[in-house]
Amino acid sequence: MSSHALRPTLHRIKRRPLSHRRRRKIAVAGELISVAGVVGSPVYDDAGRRVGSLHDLVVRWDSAEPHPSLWGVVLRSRFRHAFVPASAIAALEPDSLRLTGDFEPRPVERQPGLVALANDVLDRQIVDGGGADIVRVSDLVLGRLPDGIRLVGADVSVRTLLRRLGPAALRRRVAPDRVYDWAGVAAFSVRGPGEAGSVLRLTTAAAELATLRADELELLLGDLPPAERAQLAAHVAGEVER
Amino acid sequence: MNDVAAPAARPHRRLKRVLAFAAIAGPGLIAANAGNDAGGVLTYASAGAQFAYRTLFVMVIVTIALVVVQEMCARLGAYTGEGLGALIREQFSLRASTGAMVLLFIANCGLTVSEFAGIGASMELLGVSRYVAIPVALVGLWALTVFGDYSKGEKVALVLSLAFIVYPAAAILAHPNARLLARDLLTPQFVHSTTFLVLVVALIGTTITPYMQFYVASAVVDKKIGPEQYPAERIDTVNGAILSDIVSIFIIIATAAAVGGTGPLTSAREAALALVPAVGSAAPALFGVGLLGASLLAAVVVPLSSSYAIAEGLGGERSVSDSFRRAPVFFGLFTVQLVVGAVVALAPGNLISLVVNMQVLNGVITPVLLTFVLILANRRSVLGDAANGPVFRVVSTICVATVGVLAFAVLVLKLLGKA
Repeated sequence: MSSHALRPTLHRIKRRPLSHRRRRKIAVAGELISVAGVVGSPVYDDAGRRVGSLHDLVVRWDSAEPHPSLWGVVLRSRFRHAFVPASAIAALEPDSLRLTGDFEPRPVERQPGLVALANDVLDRQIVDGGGADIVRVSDLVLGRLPDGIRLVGADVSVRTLLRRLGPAALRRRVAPDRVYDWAGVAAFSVRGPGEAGSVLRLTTAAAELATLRADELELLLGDLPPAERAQLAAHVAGEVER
Repeated sequence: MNDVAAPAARPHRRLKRVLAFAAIAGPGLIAANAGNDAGGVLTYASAGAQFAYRTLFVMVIVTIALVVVQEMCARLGAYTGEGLGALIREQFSLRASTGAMVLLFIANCGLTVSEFAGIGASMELLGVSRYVAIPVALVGLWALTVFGDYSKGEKVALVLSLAFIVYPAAAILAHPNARLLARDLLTPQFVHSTTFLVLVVALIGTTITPYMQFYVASAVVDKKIGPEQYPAERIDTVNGAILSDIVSIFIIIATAAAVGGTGPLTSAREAALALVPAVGSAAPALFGVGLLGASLLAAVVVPLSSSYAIAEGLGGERSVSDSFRRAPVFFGLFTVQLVVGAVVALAPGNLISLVVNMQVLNGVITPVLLTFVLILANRRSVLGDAANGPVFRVVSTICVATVGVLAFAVLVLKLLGKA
């Protein structure tokens, strides 16, 4: 082993931060639901019987929408997984989920437009367009908007990670001042079964990356895995041309 | 090889031969040698002193395991573009990954202790008290890394550590008993004692260090090696692992030939006797310089690499930026490891046995972290077609399980106070 290979690493850590950009805070009133906190919670039917536990929350990803809407949930009962569409959700609380009477579980299928939040986004890297930064997601936050439940923000703080190591009550607590608006997220990567490596999903905020200086963009791209780097570079090049 | 093996009469002729050997061995051996840190050199020397050639067969097996493990880590880095810290965070539950990071941190604190012990031992050999040398090194290394240009100091340390390149020559010039050597290298020679078992785990811990696994994956990512360039990188990784173990085996042989069978090493001066056949009376000074270089190098690289792996797992790489104030987690972890390393190494007592104990700690932690690596490299969802095939799965599982059983046995013995 020679320690030469660590030099770029140390250089990366010591280098100057990007120009003064700030992440956008969320602007949603009302109760916020922590994805890390609600996953694993009990799921009840309309008669109050427990039918399983909440395994994941699925949103429909549409590059034109700043806040993806909740598409459904994945339930787990006796080691089996089933998908339940959002229309069958009677109430999603920070610590439980209640379904309507006529819910029909379907087999879980991966579809290109759907993103499972706990599996695909939580604990992974996202490209923050507003802050021009690559950060790792400590928690995701859902909010109740007039047209339904949507993914409104991401928390990338270390404090929230520590919170998640604690008891369930602590895990569910959302600190709004540490949550950034999901609308500022330029890209996130999705790693599906069978496909090695990951693919970036780009959002409308990715256009902001075209305003970065060349050296800033180079630093940013340098932190992504090769395939994602090429994908984002091509996208930004396309934006610049437009 | 005849003329290298002949006893040299005059010092300058001896030096010529050593240089000739280095030239034949080539840059690969030099690079591999630089990887032998204080913990490694002193543990291998202890093995040679205490059990002569009897640990050599273990080293052959450990080399196979090292090749298997390092290859998996390099492959994970090349195919995912992410270091092990990030991969563990993404692929395991938060609690499991926190556990892995805590273990890595403890293991690397232990390694840092042995690097500072190496600094202390080498400076004592050069005539400076360790109670002066270690605090000075602590402040100097910390300031150089946080405020200064670490890469310049690194070059000096690397040159100093090249003193160990004389080990292969010393091993040959010492005329080891060829019959005994061949027997112990090719057939298992287990000694039925708990000390032997503990030393075997120390050898595993210092050879297949958790730090090396995280390091090789990050290095591959840093060099931006992708799946296309991986076949060449695989050859490099395998060669590097084998070469570094060849140097380790030479350290055992040289020490065994010089002081083999005299019991555990008690001082660095005793370890230095192994170099006498190659450099004569300059042995203590040369050993001291080599040990100092290797220790200074690793005392920075080891804590840096664990801070990096943990920071990478905690956030995006870019969440750690330029200064202590801006990157408190990264530099905080670095500082804690350095301080723990220096303070523990200052405790009165036998530095050599402290170093060996720290390698035992590494040996106990290694199988746990290897399990994470094994699961990651088996997952098709992580590596696709590059995931471990059926044969490789069996071989790598046997390697990890063997290391695990040995480590568990030593852990139980230590807890029962029998080792």
